[in-house]
Amino acid sequence: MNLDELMVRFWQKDRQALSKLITRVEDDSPDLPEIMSAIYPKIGRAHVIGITGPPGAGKSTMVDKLIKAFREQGKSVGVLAVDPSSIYSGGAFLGDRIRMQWAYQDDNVYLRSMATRGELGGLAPRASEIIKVMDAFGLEVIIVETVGVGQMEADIIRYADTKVVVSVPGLGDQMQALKAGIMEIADVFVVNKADLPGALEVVDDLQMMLYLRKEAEWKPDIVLTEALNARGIGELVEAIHKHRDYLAESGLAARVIGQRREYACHYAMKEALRKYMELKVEETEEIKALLTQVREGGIDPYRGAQEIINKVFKIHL
Amino acid sequence: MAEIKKSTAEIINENLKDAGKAPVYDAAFINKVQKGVDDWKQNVVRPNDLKNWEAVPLTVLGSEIPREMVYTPLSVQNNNYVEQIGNPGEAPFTRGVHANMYRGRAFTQRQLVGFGGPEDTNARIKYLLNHGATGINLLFDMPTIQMYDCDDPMALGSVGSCGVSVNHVADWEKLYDGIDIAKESSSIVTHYPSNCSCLFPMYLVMAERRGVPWDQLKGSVQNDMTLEELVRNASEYIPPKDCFRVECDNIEFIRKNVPQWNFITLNGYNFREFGTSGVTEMAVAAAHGMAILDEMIRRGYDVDWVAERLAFFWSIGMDFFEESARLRAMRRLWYRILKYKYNAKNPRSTWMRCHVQTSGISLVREEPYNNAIRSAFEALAAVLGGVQSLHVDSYDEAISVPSEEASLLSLRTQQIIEHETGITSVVDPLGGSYYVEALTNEMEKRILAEITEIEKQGGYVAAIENGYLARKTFNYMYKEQMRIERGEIKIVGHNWQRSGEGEEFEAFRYPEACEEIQLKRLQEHRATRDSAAVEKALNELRAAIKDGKNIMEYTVNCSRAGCTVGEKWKVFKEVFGLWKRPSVF
Amino acid sequence: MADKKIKVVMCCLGPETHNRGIMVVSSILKEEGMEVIYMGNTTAENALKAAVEEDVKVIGVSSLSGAHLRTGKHLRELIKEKGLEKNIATVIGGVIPPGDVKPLQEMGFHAVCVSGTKRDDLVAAMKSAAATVQ
Repeated sequence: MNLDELMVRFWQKDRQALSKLITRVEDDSPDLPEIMSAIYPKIGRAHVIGITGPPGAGKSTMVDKLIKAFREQGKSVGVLAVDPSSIYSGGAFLGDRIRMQWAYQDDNVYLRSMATRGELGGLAPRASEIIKVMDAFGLEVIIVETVGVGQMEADIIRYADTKVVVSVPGLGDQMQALKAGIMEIADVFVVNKADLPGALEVVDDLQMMLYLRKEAEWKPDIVLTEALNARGIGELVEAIHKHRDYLAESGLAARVIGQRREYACHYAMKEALRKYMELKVEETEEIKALLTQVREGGIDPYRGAQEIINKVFKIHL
Repeated sequence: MAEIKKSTAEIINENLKDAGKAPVYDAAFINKVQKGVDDWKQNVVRPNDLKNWEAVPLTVLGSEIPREMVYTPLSVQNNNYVEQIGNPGEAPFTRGVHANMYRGRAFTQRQLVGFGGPEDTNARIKYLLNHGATGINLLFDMPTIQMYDCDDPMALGSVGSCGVSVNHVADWEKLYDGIDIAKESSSIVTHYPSNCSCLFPMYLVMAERRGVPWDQLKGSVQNDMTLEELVRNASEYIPPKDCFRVECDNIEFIRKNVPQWNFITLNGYNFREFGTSGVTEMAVAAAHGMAILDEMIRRGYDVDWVAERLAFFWSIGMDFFEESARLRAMRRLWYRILKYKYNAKNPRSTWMRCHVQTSGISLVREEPYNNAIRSAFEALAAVLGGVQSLHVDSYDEAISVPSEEASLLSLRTQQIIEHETGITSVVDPLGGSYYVEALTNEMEKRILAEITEIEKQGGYVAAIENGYLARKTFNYMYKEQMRIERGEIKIVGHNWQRSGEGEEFEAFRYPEACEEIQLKRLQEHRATRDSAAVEKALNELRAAIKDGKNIMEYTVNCSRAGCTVGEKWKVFKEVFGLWKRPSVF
Repeated sequence: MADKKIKVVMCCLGPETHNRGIMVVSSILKEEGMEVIYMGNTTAENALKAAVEEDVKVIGVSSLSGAHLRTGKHLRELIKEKGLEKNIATVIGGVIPPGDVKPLQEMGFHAVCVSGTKRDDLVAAMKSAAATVQ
């Protein structure tokens, strides 16, 4: 299908067109800038909620309940669930849908899984572009779910308006890692499985950490939940709304939008350059010869890079 | 749950003292044998055989335990007859739970039956009973097993497949039409605790309506949470600890109200067929049995009250001697667990009684008649292992559900073993074989070691919750599949000596019209029942689950009110919530 | 960029009780570099909704209980009804009598992988199915 046709169907709210468009973004298709440019005027309406936490914290159950809660408020919901790809085969096992399929016979819920495909640096911006496509499509709440506590998760979640970090009692040492990582960027804390012993200890830990936060304008709520029984989900939705309202009233939202626009521009620029360079390397014999020299040790990699750039852009670095 | 201070293995070992440790033969004799064996190895055995003295048989569902080329008195030099083997019908029951075994009573020949609507299965039950089957072994169709009514969107196309479709009590009445339930015992294959809680009460209500008192009913249910939480392929699971409660509620209710009924069959079979070794199969069932005993003791019951009715269900795979040996090993181990860990007083409580089924996963679609041979060998291993009850899989199982002809051949296989081979005239004919006794010891050791591993996970329920058992099973299953792919495990006609025969095989078809009939019936039922009574019964069930009351008391009431299987299951899901299984990938 | 990723939905249609087959096959596909959306037991409607949202090329169906003709037909009809024949291919496998292979192919299943199908053949079937759709 050509892009024009696809865009027409996209604006007609054709879900298959939405899916195809997301695939193009995910596959880094050549018409990516064109797509993003086309949808850009329509973005910024959705409330994007990021959910992350260690494996076994009960995130997908929580996402499940959140979808239900937002649906009850009459909002359409999009979900982007990010799962790791195998380092060896590049294959991935995307198992989240198995838990989420039942509530969503209705067309106001759109679920999409995404494998990390081993691209660490590019993953988060890619996810942010997919979120924008969902946003432009008209989905009102978009939930991004990642599994884990590392830098990659923090990067993805950074693109959310409201960042929810889920922890559970009994994490032990993992809690320390959490505190030094994604918890620093959380807007809402959830202590799930609050019926287990140790839940209050986690709350204590979190309060201590918040106390030590420097001059933060926003003091995150700590919500206790038992997602399995949907206990505490109402409070969580409330906390999420409270943060959304804060973003709007404090003017933070406006500032963040500006920053994000600029960042997106930087990223697009880098991507365009990267692709241009790759193309040139591919088609220029002279550059290929230079690379052979680099491989064989005839020229060091850094000087090699400079010379290649000079050749491509006819400049003198 | 109480803190586990000592592992089961530690408790048993402390109590055993010398069993299996002290020499049986006098030293001079052993020295002589040792010398003889050494000389033989040096002078007679070829160097190449010596080098490969231990070989690992690769078989479907095998344990990959290395075997020596030959076993001698040296292999069992500490195997004290009194402590390790014993007479049949005496502790530790290695040789069987009865003194006379099959001389007293042959193994029950229970062929699984179930397909189509209640009438279809009713006819097949009568056919098998008329041909000498000695029990009913009832299997439900896919929707019923997974607790969907026949009008659920999930049920489309599966109504009556692989089992019989039943939705409410009236269906049960048709299913048992003309069959005397006070006389015939029924094994009702309610795989899961949830399913048992939804389905078995319908049998009880049927009995009630026929005027047969519950204490006259004989038979068994499965009621096994390993199947519901670990083996079952679904997308909706209640949390393990809740499933365990349902299981124990079922046990409590049935034990009190239907005293002759076996309230649980610890089902190793489906778990093993799903993909695990005979060792893990037994270790998990034993750990599960212990979890039940602990919980029932916690609820204030005497251990014997529960243990005397625990029964097991095993899969019998292709490694002939391993299968017989592990049945002997498990009898001994279960006795030791009950005796030393639980101080059971009633000898019956310490018996590992079992029904077995030959392995379905060992059957292949190529040259399907070969499957009859496989099943026969498996059945023979089971009988040599001293089982109470047996089902022989049919040769067409890799292709379709069994035809009448294939079912009959399975029944005939059992009858030939019983009446033509002479095997049943001697109790435990393999007892005393150096090889079988050594393998029996090895199996017991390995099963106990795996029980210890499960205990390290925090016990049976925790090992399901945290994914330990799921991962272990998946790894086994995957490895086995690759071994078959690569031809390391040989399957004749499938990956070795493939002839391409059997492609034109005529498969059995279940009556598809039953879907329409069942749908219509269910519609009528829903339209004519007292819907206020249904609502009330379901609400009471909801409250009982929340209040921690015995659930089965309320599912019985639901059945009386005309609630369907699916309606009860919906309440379970709603109140317990859904559990996400740990991923194995 | 190398080859585009092959993304597949793997499911059983209806309340199957055995999942050994679907689990092993899903693992194999993952090892071959495919992205597998694992659905477990589901309905044709759900499987198709997932296939559209995830933009997969192939729906793989595992069937053991003998319902394959009914459920398979239902799935194919839904695909046709929604005009997705050119976008989504289907492959079915499991316990399927030899006589049913042809009817399933005629319904529009790209491949029928009966129990015992070799790993390589299975992967090839999924790949060639993916190549037939856009």
